[in-house]
Amino acid sequence: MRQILLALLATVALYSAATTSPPPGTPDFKLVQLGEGVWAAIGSDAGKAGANAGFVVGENGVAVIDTFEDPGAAKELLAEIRKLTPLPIRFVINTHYHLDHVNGNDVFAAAGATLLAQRNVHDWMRSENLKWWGDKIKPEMKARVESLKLPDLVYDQGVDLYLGSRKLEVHSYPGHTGGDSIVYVHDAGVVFCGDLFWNRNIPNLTDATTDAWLKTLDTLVGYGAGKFVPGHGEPGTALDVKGFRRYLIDLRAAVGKAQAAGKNGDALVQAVLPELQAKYGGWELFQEFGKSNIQQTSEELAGTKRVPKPAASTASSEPQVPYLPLRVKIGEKAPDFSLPGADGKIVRLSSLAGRKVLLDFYEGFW
Amino acid sequence: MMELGEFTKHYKDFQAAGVEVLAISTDGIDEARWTKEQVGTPFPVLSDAKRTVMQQYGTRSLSTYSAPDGGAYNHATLILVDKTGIIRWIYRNADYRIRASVADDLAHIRELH
Repeated sequence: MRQILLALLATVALYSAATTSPPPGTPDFKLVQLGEGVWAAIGSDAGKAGANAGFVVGENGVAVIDTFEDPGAAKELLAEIRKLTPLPIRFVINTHYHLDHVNGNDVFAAAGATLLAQRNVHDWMRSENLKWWGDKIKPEMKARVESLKLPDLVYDQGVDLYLGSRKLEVHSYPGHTGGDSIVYVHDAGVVFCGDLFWNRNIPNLTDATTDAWLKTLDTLVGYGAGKFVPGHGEPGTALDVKGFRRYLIDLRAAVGKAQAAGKNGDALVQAVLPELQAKYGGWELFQEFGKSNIQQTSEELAGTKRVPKPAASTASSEPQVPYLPLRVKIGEKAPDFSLPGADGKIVRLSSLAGRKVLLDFYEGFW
Repeated sequence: MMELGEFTKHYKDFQAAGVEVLAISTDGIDEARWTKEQVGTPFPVLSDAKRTVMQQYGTRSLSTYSAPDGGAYNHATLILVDKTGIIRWIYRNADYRIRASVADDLAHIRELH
């Protein structure tokens, strides 16, 4: 995350920077044991991990939660796991699609793991990560994002995984991107929350729906688990989850108040920022995300915020509708055609290659 | 004027988003010309009177109404094609009168590189 921000702010090439080795003695993450065979890998600000990850060792294998922002850090994580157990890496769960949680997927896939994630992660991993970078993306980074290893297996609500007798519950919840999952290690009372929980870190709200997120946090607190591993920050307890929930409530309230006072745009940000800073200025990433949190929450409350949409909502397969299924699909080549226009000139679709084209099939004026 | 009128009204935004709009219906060329003049569309209004493109794309409506020439109509459908000719977004609604908002259309167009 930190590296993405630096890259965005200074348009530094993340990938080229990240493939150089860290200075000796600067670990990319630290391992924290939270129960028997349950480990959190807490990303260091100095390192290239970019976020937290974790792993659970069961009787017959290992499940890894998230794969960091850089394949180098993922290799280090694999090496650390190898020091602890010779058991196979059976599963990787991506808690969501953001690059700082998925860029080491290929490392674990090469080690034999099956990759799992909520359905939207599969649909968004390449397209939405490219969107985050925008036009300034370096060619090598673009190539990397476009070849990210996608999940092998997707679920909608969740799935249970067994490592022998050890059960991991994977549940999907809304709030952060619309395609996030948590991993609940029942017997250890540990919940890996991915970015549904940020511990004393200001969250990335780019894709967020905070009202749904608040309900999700209530659900997580209701697990009654002893330990909650955030996507960013140190492992915490239910109290810390409530603290993060409080942040979202305070943010929404402050933005709502400023909107009610008729403020919008930059004036709204300037009105809310001091209040937010007084309470949360000490949290990590406040400089990076404080202002955008206000802007994005303002858009959300005004009903104008755009968040990633599940691919299904743009597909066209409702059976009861009065039209035949299309013969074309998203992701396929548009069939070429030539048709005469109102002016008698022939228009050929393929002659527009290099331009975006919007085909509007209509009748009458509709 | 519905979709065509909306596109015409916001045509500058579509141009700025770097997209070519092609309107396609089963109208003959004379009807297409009439429509183009009525609406004042700056983009091509194409005549698919033989329904070849309707067949290719499968946009045919199951409505019991049929066109004056006995053929089928299109069910209103938007298909967004990227620079390399790949389909990236499709919008249809069971109620043909419900169209995506222009803002939504533009957002999908701008998302494409």
